[in-house]
Amino acid sequence: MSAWAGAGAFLGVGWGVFRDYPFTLWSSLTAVLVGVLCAYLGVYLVLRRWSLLGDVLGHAALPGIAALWWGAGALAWWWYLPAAWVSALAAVVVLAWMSRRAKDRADASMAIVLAGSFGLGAVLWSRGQRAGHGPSAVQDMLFGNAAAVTEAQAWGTLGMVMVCIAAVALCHRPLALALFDPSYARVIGLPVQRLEGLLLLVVALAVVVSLPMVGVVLVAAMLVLPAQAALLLRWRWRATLVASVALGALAALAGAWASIRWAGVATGPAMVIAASVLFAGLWWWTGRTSRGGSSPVPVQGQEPSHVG
Amino acid sequence: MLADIYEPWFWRMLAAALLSAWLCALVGVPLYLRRRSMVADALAHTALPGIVLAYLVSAQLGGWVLVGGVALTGWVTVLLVDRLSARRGVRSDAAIGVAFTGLFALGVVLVSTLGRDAHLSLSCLLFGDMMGVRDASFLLMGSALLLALGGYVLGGAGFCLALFDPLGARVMGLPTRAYDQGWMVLTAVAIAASFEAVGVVLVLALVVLPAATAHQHATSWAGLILAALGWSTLATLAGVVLALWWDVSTAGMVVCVALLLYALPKPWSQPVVNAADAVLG
Amino acid sequence: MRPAGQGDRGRGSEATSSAEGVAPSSEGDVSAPLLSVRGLSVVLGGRVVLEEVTFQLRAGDLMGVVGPNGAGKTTLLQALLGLLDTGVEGDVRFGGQPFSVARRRVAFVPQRSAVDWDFPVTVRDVVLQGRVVHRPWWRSASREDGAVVDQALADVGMSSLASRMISDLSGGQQQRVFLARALAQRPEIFVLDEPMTGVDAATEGLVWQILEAHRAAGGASLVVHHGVEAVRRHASRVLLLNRRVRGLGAPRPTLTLEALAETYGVDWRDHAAGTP
Repeated sequence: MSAWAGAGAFLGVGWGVFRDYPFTLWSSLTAVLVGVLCAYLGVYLVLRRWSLLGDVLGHAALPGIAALWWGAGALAWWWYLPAAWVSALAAVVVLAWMSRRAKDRADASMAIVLAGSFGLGAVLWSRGQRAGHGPSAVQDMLFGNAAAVTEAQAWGTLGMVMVCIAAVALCHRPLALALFDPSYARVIGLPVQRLEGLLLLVVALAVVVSLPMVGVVLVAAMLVLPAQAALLLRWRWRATLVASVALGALAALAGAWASIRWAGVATGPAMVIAASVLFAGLWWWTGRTSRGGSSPVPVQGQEPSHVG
Repeated sequence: MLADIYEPWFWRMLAAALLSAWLCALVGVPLYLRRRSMVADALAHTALPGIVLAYLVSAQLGGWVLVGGVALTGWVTVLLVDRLSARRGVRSDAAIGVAFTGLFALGVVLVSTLGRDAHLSLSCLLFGDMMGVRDASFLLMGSALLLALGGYVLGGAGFCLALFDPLGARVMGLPTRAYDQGWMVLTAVAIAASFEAVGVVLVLALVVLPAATAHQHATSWAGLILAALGWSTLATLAGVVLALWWDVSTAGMVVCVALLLYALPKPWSQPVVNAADAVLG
Repeated sequence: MRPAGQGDRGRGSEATSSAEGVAPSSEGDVSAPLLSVRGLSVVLGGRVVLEEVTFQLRAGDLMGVVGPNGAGKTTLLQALLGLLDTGVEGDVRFGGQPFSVARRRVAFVPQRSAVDWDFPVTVRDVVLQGRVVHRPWWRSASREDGAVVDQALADVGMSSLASRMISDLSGGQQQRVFLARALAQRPEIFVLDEPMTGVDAATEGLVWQILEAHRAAGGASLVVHHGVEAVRRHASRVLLLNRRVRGLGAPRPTLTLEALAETYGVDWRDHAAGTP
């Protein structure tokens, strides 16, 4: 109940802030949608130790986008989505294959796929530039261009956000169990690999949907910052998800407001800075009341989990 | 145009490419062995605000101020990652993600608000511009290369041991902490020196790929380093020539070739279960 | 503390009687042993980890699996429970049925180190996981499930900590939560992987107590444990394992010095033959 009241209040405040700037409506709405989606999925990602996968997926989307742009010139935004999604998923497949062959070098595999696909993207993009295609849609996806978000884009984003959240929320109980205790989950017959695969599919889609807003590098931020901040609170499962989503939405709103207030500040980076500030605040607060505590041994050189 | 090979600017570009490739390969071997590849990714990204800061201070895009700026942000990043990981409930990979994304966003904002009148182009910073490498940068790269070699020489056998068996080395009294942090700063310096040629993201590929490729077949410590240098040289030569021929991004092509070399099966490699054992054994 | 499987005293329709959860299932062959393993061999990465392992588990058995590190004890459990995709040969039947059919009758207690204890869930949430195997994945927990969970928590003495976050628990408490989860499943067979690692004496005693009560009620347990003395004292049967079965039977006749030396010692002939 209180969650709905909070959401209502939030929307009311948001409406009040943006009422004077109707031209930013679609951009701001999309920002909030992206913030919410990434924050929700981010909890699963962080718990699975796949935080940096968002970074990899973001960079891996570049070859697909650049290839499409080179081949077909400037197209409407929704054409780039499948290209970027397929490209990101291809990288995941390669990453899974590499991780299986080099089990204890998961971090190197991630770095290789990340930088390698970015290199491939660079080559394709330069080819496209030589071909003389006009203003670069690739640039928009690379760094984000929130100001150019149209009403159609906002509605499309809403649709995809709903699909993504629904896909995960429907199986969130078996998924959470598979993330928490994979061997037990397998023994009781849960399709752990398929559940993880679903998560990857949805995260890749979320990354691709977020690109016009935040760009390739910063999409990882929205997947990690709100979720890890919410986890600092050490609340229960549902409360953690709600907290993360709230933080994501708040950061998005703050970022959108900052981009209106100060010219030259893009929404994407502003969102991320806001999310970092929120993280820092929660870090300080949970550390102060010493609910956070510290781990017994400082963690150094621990690898992220490998995919597959 | 392939005929351009005979132009002087080609050789200059090749020199820049080779210098940065060797520098990155040398820096990359310990990073790869110590599983710090993603920390290198973080350092590569946080180089951006470092570059911008240095530019703000010195109003130019080069020189030792630049190195200082990048080294500073690099050091801050590493400290941040360590501090974040120490809190319970913060996973180590999330710590890396938190540390570098906020700083990178800061860098982007600084570039867009303050770097308007400068020659700060985000695309150049990300992808590099091999033809536009200035003379001063050659000096920088050369010095950084010497520094890296010096790091190996100074570290000596203890360094090698610390890479393969950090706990054992610490038990023996070797300063593993100093090695770690020192090498991270050296990485930041290497990034500062090379970013002009290859850009901040592709530096990561030049750092990790040669070491990873060499690890597939090397059977000794010296062999590992020499192989890494060899693979990066091959990738650079082929990449630069191909980029010229096909008229594409030079740094991107070098990375693609390096990727190909990594993926190729190495039939002469011995089936060692653990290269670490082979090196120490 | 009441051991699970003996039924709830008069709690109405929610109570499950001891017979339902523990007696050999009517779906399978009634005369078949609860678990039958024949010629189980596992090859991983070119190395022979298990070789022709054969044994049976009948109702009322409490079998301890004993052997040195690297003997293949965990691999044995993984092979039985379908956690290995390839490299497994041999015949494994649970009451005459393959594991994929019989899994709801088998409760697995994994090693504590395999789990991320920083997960934002409560003790009760984890124990509830034990009921998942009894209902379709899309259905949420019922009131009956809640009652079973409460019973299991009481059996391990964690009722007062039901709402505690698992990251706040000690090693012994974590093990109790795992045990409660297995109890909540109301299985025929318990399979436990090194349950006594890093656990206080009271919890260790509790684990044996529960396993013995389960045995008395007609169930069976398979416990991988490195403490030979405890196995000698509590188990009804022992399996000595070091790549092959080195001994099988009741504790007293099986745990001879000779057999132990063969299992734990280095037999050079075997070592040379086994390694690639």
